[in-house]
Amino acid sequence: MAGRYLLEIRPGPSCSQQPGTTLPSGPYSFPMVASAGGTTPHPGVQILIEGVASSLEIEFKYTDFTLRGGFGTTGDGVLTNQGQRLWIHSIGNGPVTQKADGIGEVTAGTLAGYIALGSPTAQESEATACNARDHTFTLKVR
Amino acid sequence: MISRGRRAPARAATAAVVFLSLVLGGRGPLAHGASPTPVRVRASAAFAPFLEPALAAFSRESGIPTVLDLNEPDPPDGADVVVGDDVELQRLLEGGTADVRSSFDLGYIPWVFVVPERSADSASALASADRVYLPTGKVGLVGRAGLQAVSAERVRVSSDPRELRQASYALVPRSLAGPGEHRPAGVRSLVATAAMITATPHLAGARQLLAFFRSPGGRTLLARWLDATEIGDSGVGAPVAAGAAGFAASVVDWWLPACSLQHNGYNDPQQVLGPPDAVNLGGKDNYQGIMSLGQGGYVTVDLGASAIDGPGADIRVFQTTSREPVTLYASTSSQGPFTLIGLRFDCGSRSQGLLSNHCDFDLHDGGLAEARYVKVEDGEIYPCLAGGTLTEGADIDAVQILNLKP
Repeated sequence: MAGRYLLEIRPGPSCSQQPGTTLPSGPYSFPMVASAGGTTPHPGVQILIEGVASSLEIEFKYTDFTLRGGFGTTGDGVLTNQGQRLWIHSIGNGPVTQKADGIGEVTAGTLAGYIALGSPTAQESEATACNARDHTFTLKVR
Repeated sequence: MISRGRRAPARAATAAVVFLSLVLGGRGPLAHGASPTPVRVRASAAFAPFLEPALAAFSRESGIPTVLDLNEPDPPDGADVVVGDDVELQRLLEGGTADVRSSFDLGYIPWVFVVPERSADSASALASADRVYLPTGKVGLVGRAGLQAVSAERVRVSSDPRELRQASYALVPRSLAGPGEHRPAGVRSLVATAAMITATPHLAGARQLLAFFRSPGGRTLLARWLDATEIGDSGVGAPVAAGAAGFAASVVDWWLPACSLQHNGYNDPQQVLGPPDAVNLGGKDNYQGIMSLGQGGYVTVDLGASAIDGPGADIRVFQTTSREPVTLYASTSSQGPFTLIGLRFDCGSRSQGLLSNHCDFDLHDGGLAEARYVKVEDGEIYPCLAGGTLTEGADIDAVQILNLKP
């Protein structure tokens, strides 16, 4: 996993099971850049948003052709390509598949944890939030 | 249960709070006394109603003037003492800007739904409201969890205590509740923690103020406004005997992102073994006895014996400083599979006599009858590159079996 990717995040179906918690199903996308993230005690991959890298940071452990690790934003959240502001603190897990050119992708990743979504100027307490185990994500080469 | 209001404070104190709120509105300080070097205290508006009379009493008793600056305590912006909830003080305490060793809890402020008198049940009342008010900032984020059934479009956040008190429908700390019925909100109480800023130039005055808060007179005054325990908390936890059985015995596996390994200072997984022993050695980021999990890192331990699904919680994780969330998985085999037991549990319940707080997990929640191996994973999941301390991520001190297999 290296190079330029498009990250897409979809809030889980369970987020719409209660009134008020409904997050539009998305997807919400972000331009990301992946690079190797160390080898000890396990190999890792660091995936950062283009621009202010720390505003959306993913730190994956990469073993057995599977990525697993944390998706995190700061208190300011991060703007999606679609124009909303998103906050996330979730653990992602997904098998890596190889394209014909050998570059890895995640086409069916799962996410467990917190996602909140608001207007571009919202603060986090104004956002609609959902803690769930059935969020999903993809990481595809762009 | 319906409560028609908080315990009534003296009329003079109420008037002072209102005056404070109207005058300051988060824009500037209010001084008690005329000394050019007062002790400056910074806290969010939710804490003003008890701080204002307490600081006035302290100034009368000690002759030391005080200034109450009504803003979020982080950054402290010249304050000598900060008072705030865990979510507000976490980074100040963790990074050493505020002195962990000076910090202590003053008490708890429960959240309440404010609805018009004789309203239907809270859910129906809130469902019919055009606007539901909520405090702004990190305090508001704590409360937002109680408004999951209210769409974002109908939530109005406000930094103005007067506006919050005048709202017909609101979810607020009891200290900011106005007229109407006050109903239990099911949100964890705010904990009011006081701490001295490490580099304060007014060390003696700050220490004296904290000593006043701890004194019988200070406690009596604060008790008019603050609860002694958190609503929904099962208690502060029994004291943990050194050398007690049932603590993590060996490390099976661990992982920290390379970024966290580079930036954090407490990366040794062996530190989670045995009974809780974390200590703060003073100064910035100076700890002993913890492993910081960084961004989404984990440590898997062999408990040396099996925990069983018994009465109440079965496994306790001790986590140092504030209430950084922890996720727990469990298994009967060191190689797994590991079953999710609890996802991002706030790990901030106070532990009597210990630096570390704790959070409890029930094997029943994962459908397990027993487990010997547990994987403790960071639940804060804060971007590593944005972290400014040596202790990013949940800081694990120990893991304990609460229900030991006979």
